[in-house]
Amino acid sequence: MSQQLRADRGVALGGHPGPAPLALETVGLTKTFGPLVANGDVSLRVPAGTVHAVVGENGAGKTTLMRMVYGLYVPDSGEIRLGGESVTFNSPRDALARGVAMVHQTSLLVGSLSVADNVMLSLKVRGRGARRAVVDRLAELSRDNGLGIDPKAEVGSLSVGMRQRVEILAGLYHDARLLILDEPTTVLTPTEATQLFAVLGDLTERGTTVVLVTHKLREVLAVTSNVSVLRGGRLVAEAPTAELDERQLVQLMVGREVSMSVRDSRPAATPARSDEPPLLAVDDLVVADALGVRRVNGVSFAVQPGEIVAVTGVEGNGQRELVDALVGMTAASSGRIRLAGEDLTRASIAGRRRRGLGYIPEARPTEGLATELPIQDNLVIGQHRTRRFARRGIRRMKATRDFAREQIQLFAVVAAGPGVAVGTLSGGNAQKVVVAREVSKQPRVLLAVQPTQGVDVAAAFAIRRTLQDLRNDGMSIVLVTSDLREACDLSDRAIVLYNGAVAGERTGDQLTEESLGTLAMGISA
Amino acid sequence: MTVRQPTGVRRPVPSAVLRSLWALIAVVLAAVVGGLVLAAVGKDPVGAYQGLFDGAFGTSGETEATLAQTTPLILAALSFVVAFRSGIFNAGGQGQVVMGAFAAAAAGSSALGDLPGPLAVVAVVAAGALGGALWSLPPVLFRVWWGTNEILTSLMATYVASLLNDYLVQGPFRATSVQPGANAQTESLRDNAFLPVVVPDSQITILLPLAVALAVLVWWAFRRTTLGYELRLQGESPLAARSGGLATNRIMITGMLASGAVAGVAGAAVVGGVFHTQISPFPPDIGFNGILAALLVGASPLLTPLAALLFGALSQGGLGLQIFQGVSQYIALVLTATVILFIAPRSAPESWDKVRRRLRARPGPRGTDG
Repeated sequence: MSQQLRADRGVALGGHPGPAPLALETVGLTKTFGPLVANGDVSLRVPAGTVHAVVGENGAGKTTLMRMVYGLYVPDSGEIRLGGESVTFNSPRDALARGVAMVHQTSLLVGSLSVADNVMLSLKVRGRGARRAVVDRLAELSRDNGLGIDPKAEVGSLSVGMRQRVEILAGLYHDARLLILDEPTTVLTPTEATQLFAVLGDLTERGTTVVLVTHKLREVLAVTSNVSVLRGGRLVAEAPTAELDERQLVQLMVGREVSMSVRDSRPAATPARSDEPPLLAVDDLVVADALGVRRVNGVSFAVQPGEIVAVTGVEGNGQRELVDALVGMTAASSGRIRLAGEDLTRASIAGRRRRGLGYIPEARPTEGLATELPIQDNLVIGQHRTRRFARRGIRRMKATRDFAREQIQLFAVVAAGPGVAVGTLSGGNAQKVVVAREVSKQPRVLLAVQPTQGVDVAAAFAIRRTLQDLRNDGMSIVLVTSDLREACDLSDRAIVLYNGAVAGERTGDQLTEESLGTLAMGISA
Repeated sequence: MTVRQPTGVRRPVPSAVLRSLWALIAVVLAAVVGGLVLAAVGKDPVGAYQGLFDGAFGTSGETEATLAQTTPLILAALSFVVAFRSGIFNAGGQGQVVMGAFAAAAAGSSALGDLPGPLAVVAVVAAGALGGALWSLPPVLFRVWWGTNEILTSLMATYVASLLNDYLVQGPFRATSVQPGANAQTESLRDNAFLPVVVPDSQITILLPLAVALAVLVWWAFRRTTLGYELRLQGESPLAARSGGLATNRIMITGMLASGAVAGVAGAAVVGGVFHTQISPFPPDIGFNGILAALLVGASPLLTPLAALLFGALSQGGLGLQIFQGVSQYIALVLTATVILFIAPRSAPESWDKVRRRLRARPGPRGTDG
């Protein structure tokens, strides 16, 4: 399969007569970290003036490859060519000098400084005159490329999406011909993402080449002209995007057939047990922030045993505040939360968890896990005082370790052992640790917030499958997600939040991405 | 699932070995810089270092003095480690040392000092722990109640402690037997309340081996007890602890009280082992040197005795320097400061990250947990 795609490459780059000029070419790049071959013999070919996708699961070697291209890592062997010329970079500064700029997923800008001052940090010029020149040049570049950035704006006041553009602008200031974007849309709203891609399209028309590192396949299909697939540190395919569909891409990334739609695996007859009382009932919940603004404004919904209810919408419409109030991280201003009929509105976090509330938080590295602690310690959070894991205040280490081994196996966590720090795991594997912990506590209601965000395809699939299995076993699951497709594929029913209130509910045939999207935008159907 | 190789290490966490190696390099670099300073003021660096070493370990008497100095430093450093690993920056160890010392002196000079056998000593140490713990309580309560930054409040409490000690020792608790003009002190400890020495005719008390044992105990407790686990979880990821349903406020208070108690025992070590009375002004740097010693080894409990020994040797050796080499003992302080300068960026980047995080922490629904 991959051989065939590679063989097609010659005819692939339609439009250009003969082989297209290459903006970036790597020849047999290899990088190892101890025994780990992060990149083995990777020969990447990126035609000039295109948006080129580099895809792969977490841990496939995308980031390592890009770090070599922009000078953060020095390859063990192999060669990097820019515009046909062989280059050696010892630092990102070297790379920038040769026109390679990196746009980081989480901005490395100084929030308290203006856009222009941030750019000036990387220059060796000082003084008011120099600053004015920088401001003027940035304003010009911003205008020409439709970036809409005011060079004098304080970076801290800009949205995440705008900050990414500032990094693009900084790259352009340094005459970057090759822009590398690492998972740029993870932190963006759908609208911001669309705008970003429009900007990238404009840039390529002016001759800039964009390398887009991502694992969102729809993005790849929508905006890139060529795609390189990495798996296990090796380049397994490189082809024009038009020749691939989503299923093929997943196969290339994962290395085998994956059933794409989770709906396929849904057993035919597991109707929600609507005759039973709901396990979770939220009545007219109001959550106000410190300024008294009602972030959640009268939300009501109920979840039956054996039902997945998706709570979706554009991020920032009250999802986070709703979640915090359900878990007990913040207090509800009014309304009622009942779990299996019991009023928990005023209960502590511990009280809610004791009564059977499971919680998979969105902020995995901060709220979900203690990254510097070993897997085994992360798996027993909340259960560490139970008789199984402790006696008279002394932890039972063997029981803890055995439990961790069992969970690692059960959830197919790829890790060297229960004693490794969670921070060393890939996003997908770290998330599996969170899921394993919460599921092992056998909750009655599971609150899963963006459970597959930043998670590789195979792990996302496994996590979705887990949620469905739990549902089929009679658990009530609240799936908070901004991925409308996930909401449709996974849930039995979806409610859409808009401006802190429920804009509508969809189920059955009406549960489609289009209908949810309409509700999410606040357009009443 | 396809089985892949584990993903490469994202952020290499320096091992304890690596950290102590860095610490060692920093000490060597500091020595080089200190040597340049000495040369610049016209002293012979090699001779001075020889003097410094001789001052600390030259004779058995000096070694004993160094070890006696080390004892409270180990405890002060451990005090900082306990809080730090629990996510609390206890900058007020010195205040807790002072109040622990005062409480130990008050107990040892009272009827408690006449308790039979080892009970009097136990009473002195327990009073020290109690005094230190009480002094650490307000900062952590303010943090828990209002999200007040405990670095500032514990530091301010130190100044209150020093002044309160001055008042108490020079006023209500002043020993009447002391000549006017001499440094003020309280009534002496009863003989039975003196900390037993492990080396005859020295000031090396039973608390030296106990402090080393405590370092091992702290190390063990953080790993193997549920309380230690909770403290560590709170320190590493307060939000994960909170969303997991842990009683984070109670955990923080426990961590701080334990830290304050250990600092208070450092005070008891000074009173029960060296002065046998509480003095005013009290030595101003035990708590602060404890913080530095702890950070020198990246807040690793097992390494704190070594770091404390280094600081003890520098301060004892400084005296030798002055006596034998005619070099001001303050050069030892210059060396100490230089060690810190070299250690700050290299030894424990993750510890300093935490320091920075704590310094920036503001009360808020998600920032600190109320």
